[in-house]
Amino acid sequence: MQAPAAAAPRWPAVAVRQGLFASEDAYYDALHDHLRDRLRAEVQALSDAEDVELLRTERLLQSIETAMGEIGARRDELAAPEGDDGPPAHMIGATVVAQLRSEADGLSEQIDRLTRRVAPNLRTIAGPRLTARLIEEAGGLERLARKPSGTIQVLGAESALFAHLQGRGPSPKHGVIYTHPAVRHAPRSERGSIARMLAGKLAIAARIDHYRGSLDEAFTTEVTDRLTAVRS
Amino acid sequence: MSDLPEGVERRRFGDRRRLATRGEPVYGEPVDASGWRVWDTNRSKVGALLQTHGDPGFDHASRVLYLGAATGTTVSHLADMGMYVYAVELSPYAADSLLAVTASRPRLFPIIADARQPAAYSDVVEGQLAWMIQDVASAQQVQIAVANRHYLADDGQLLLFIKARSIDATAEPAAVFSAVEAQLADSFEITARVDMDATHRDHRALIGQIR
Repeated sequence: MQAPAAAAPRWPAVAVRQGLFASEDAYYDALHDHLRDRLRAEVQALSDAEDVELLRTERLLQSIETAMGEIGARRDELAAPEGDDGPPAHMIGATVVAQLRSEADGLSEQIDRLTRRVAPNLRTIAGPRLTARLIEEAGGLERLARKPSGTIQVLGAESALFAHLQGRGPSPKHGVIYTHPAVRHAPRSERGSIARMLAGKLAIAARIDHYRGSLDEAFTTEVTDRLTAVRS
Repeated sequence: MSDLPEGVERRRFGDRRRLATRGEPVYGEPVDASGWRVWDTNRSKVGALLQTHGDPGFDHASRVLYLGAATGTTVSHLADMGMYVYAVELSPYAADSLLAVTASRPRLFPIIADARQPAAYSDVVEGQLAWMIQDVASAQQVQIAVANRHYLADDGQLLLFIKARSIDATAEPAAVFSAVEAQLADSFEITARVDMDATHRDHRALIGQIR
């Protein structure tokens, strides 16, 4: 807290007296525009920070899911054969998994909320979770927006990609976008081409999200219609 | 005190008469055929004060410093009434909705800043203001009022909503209210006290005149 200040000047009167504005009304109009511009910059800075928050939330959620899987598997090894509670370690396993589950639910909600603000177009096409995974794999929304669709198609399948480049194995058809229902539920022979099409649309969505920042319903409707069409 | 200030009316919405001002709706509140929108007294302490206590002496076109604007609900109604409002809010998360609320209100001036550091907005907030309205959730409500008093005119007034639970969550609200009033006494002469319990639990409004 600072020391009491001297009486503040009446800026509108000062501005008019100095000839900067023809009238107090003109001054107020300019002030209003100026402050709303500052507010817009504030919103922009916040959404820049929000994609990092999204990426970190997604990473934490992934760690929790891994831990849940491992603890769940160990717990199952200890499960009693005849349905009673089993040894104490089994009970501890159950408690911990339940706690992790509730944390994971909270993080999923955060991802839902953040993707709505950070990447509304990606979210509409890919859902909140896949959107978060793509931004996480790419290292941020801007980086995702700069990637070619061929890279987005195999994001998360790096080990298969490099194995292929070294002459071992076929080229990967898809990375994390495999979790999209249109890809996962497609017949094996179609998966590659659907993944390629989806990756192309996601690349465009990421660019709209990063460079424009608002939902383009005409675009997302067209894409979701097309994805529904290939599914049926 | 007289009933309601200029620009606020009690109007019929459904089966109730509710406070309303005229302007673009901002939070999904009901609007009537002639463009009046409900001022929800559960969401706005100033609204609740007008409802229970009447006009604290608001004038059309008077200049106001509003500390703790949050998402802008209350300041939007003050702007509808024709007041010039400098709306200060600490949280950058409010920027989005303040942007929306100020779009149709050319005399509502949004500022994201910390009211404990009033020098940060001394380049935009004018002096000689008629009112300082404070609704912040901070243990430093008194210090904030004192630190901002140089924006007020010699006959400027303070409307401060004490949030007992923010100042001391363990003390009795009544004890907190009298402690706050004692600390303000050097800078402001308190002329009215209004308990807000009907709509806002453990809140009291203080109205005062700058010394």
